[in-house]
Amino acid sequence: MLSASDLDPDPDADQPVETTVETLNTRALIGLIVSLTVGVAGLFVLPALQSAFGLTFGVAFGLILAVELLSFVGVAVSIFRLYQTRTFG
Amino acid sequence: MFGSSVALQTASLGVEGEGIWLALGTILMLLGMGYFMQQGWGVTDPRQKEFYIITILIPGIAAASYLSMFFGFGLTQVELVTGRVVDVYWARYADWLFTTPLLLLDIALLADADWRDIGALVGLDAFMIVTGLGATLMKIPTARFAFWTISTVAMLFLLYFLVATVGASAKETSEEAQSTFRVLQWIIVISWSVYPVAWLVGTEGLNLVGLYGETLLFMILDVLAKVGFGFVLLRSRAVVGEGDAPTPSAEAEAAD
Repeated sequence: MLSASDLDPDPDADQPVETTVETLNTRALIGLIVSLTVGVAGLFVLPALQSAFGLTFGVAFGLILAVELLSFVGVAVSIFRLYQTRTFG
Repeated sequence: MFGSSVALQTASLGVEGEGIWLALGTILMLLGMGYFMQQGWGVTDPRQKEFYIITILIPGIAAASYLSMFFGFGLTQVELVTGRVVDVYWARYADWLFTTPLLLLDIALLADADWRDIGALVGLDAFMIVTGLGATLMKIPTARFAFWTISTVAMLFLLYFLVATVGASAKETSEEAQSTFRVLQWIIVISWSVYPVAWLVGTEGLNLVGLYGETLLFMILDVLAKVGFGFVLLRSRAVVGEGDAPTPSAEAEAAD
């Protein structure tokens, strides 16, 4: 059953409505996945790095530590940019 | 050659049988990660999602680190000038360099700390871990203990900064957030304080405890500091809202 309010035309119908929504930032999502993958891979690749490039343990480990720290930065930045506010109308 | 080394590691469950604790650590971290994922499934609020993503990643990365150590990828040896050979699970330090800043980020976000304070926390944390690593990789025993002292002092500064400065920011937040912050702060203060003691009594320090006991101790501390921390954080209404657990948005919308 229809009520009176259903029959009345909306007085604000012609007014532009401003809507703000949170949308997923695809670049941030890719950044998060890449940072995480690189960081996790870093935990396994030290022996391969040493044998492939002839690096000493110290040099290979230094690289791994730098990668882990950069991965953290990548993850942190990506998480805070994962959602962006968009306004329509 | 490397393949046979890995096979030897897995066959003998580590140098002193500590592989059992590395396997258990992997499983517990994976269970923690799975539980947090299940709790956060369907959450739509962006701020809540930030907490969930960070808290899920922490045990996830730690699980990878434990797996790396279990299979022998994360193990090396350091020969001291005294002739003693120390087995070092280096992956532990790489894991800490990735996950401890995430833990600090989690608690700092809860406290609504400003970016300068978060940067200071992360900087102190990285310095503490790198100097701790210096302690582990040095060949001269005196240098090892000197680096251990520097790392421990850095940790004390970090904990003071967390309690005093970040704690002051937390006082501006809701009662629920303050209460959760206090619990998490004590989890960090207590569990992190045991790490330098574990290093000191373990094989990398005074060698009073063997690799088997040391690995067990680090595993318990890691699980407490990562999974225990996440469990408390994600049970808090300051993070997940009014319910005990997050309500899947689809169900909430259907109910509306």
